[in-house]
Amino acid sequence: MIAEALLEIADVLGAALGPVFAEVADWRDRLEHALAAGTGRAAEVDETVEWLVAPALAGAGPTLGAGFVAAPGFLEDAPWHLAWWVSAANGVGLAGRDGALRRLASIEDPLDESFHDYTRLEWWRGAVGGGDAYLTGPYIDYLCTDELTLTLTMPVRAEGRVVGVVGADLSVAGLERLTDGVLGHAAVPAVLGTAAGRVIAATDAGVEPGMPARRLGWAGEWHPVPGCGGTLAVARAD
Amino acid sequence: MARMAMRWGPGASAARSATHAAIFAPLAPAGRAEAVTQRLADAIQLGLLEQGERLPTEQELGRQFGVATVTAREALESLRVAGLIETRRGRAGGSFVCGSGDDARVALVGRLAATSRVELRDTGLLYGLVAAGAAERAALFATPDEVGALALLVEGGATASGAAARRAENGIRLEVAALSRSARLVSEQVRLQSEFGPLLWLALRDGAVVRGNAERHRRLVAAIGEESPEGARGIVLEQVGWLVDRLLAVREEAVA
Repeated sequence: MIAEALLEIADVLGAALGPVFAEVADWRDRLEHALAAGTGRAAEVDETVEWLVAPALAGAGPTLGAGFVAAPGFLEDAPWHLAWWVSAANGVGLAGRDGALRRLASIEDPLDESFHDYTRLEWWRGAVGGGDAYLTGPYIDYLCTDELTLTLTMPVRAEGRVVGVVGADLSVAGLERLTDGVLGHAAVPAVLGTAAGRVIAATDAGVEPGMPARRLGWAGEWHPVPGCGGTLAVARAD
Repeated sequence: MARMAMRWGPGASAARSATHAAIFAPLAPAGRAEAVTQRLADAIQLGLLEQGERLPTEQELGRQFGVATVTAREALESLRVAGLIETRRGRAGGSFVCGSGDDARVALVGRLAATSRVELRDTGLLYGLVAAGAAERAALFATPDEVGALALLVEGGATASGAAARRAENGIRLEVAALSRSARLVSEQVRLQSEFGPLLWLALRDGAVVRGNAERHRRLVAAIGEESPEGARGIVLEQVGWLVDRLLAVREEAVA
């Protein structure tokens, strides 16, 4: 009975959140096609990626930033490369002013002191190491969004090897609007969490996003949310 | 403030006057150009911006600080007059850091000496409470991965000296603030870092203080890893109190 109610919650959440995941998977598929057709220079990749992600960043959805990050050495003319765009709603670097769609400035010279080896970061290691969709967070991304964020990443393959990741930064506050309608009408107390067991939202509004679910003392079984690449699950919250 | 107290007369509660004293405390006298100048001068004096390093353009600085280009230009002009930067024309031109090292440190010590002990303790208190609050929450939220990354940062800082040690101190505080999962706490930590950090780091010139600080950072990482919010909070409060004491000692030497 309760398990059925949870499965139903998972289904409805899947309908609400699935499109966000499907969109990133669609970018991956299109980018893999473009790469298979011979796009190999940074400028060409940038153009393709901007064309793919710009519509998602122009909308009122939870996506704060999106793009493609190349595996080191994949692009012949840019050994390290981020093709990442941020939305007008993304507050980073704006100091309280109004924003517009813009490209994230990044340092790609490994000799520069501010250079950051992105292959050591969780959003890279999770997607590349696991070979599938990976959800990092919720965390405060003070370099890129300035707010509580989930980063969804998926590996991009060409000729059988991983050549980078596509991804999106999702606002937890923005996702709240998508999940509230579902969790607000849930028949049983429930929690939505990441595969790593971090809370994203719960029927009890007092539960904070980012909290490790095990800290809350709930021992219920996790049910995957359909359409989200195994990165999200629902459990009983009591 | 005396005028405000009189308006409510002698019967006004102490709490009320305390609140109003805080609300109507004078704003920092520095204008926006001065604030930008101070921020860049601090960074140069601390070696965070190094000799020969090229500064962003006026337009870029204005964008980053959220001020008008003309304000950024004014700030660069002040730095030029102070001899901290020089401007070269032409294709490889721009503004380059030139003042650094001992002369610059003298300027920072001068600022320390000109700040009262009361003010230093008060700013240190706020800095400590914000950092301790962040540490307390970090112990509730941090993943093992994040604790590992923090430990690496601490070890990097423990063996560093000079500007690298100060950069590590800055980075550790910011990372702990981010682990609190509060965007506002992060931005408050950044604000305090820019205001108080440069002074606090004057205490980190002494090798013994750098080692003592690293030891406290290690205990902090352990407390966060053990998910002990009370432990993490206590360690940071003690650490910042200890650093402020060291800073007061540096100040006494400077005014003597």
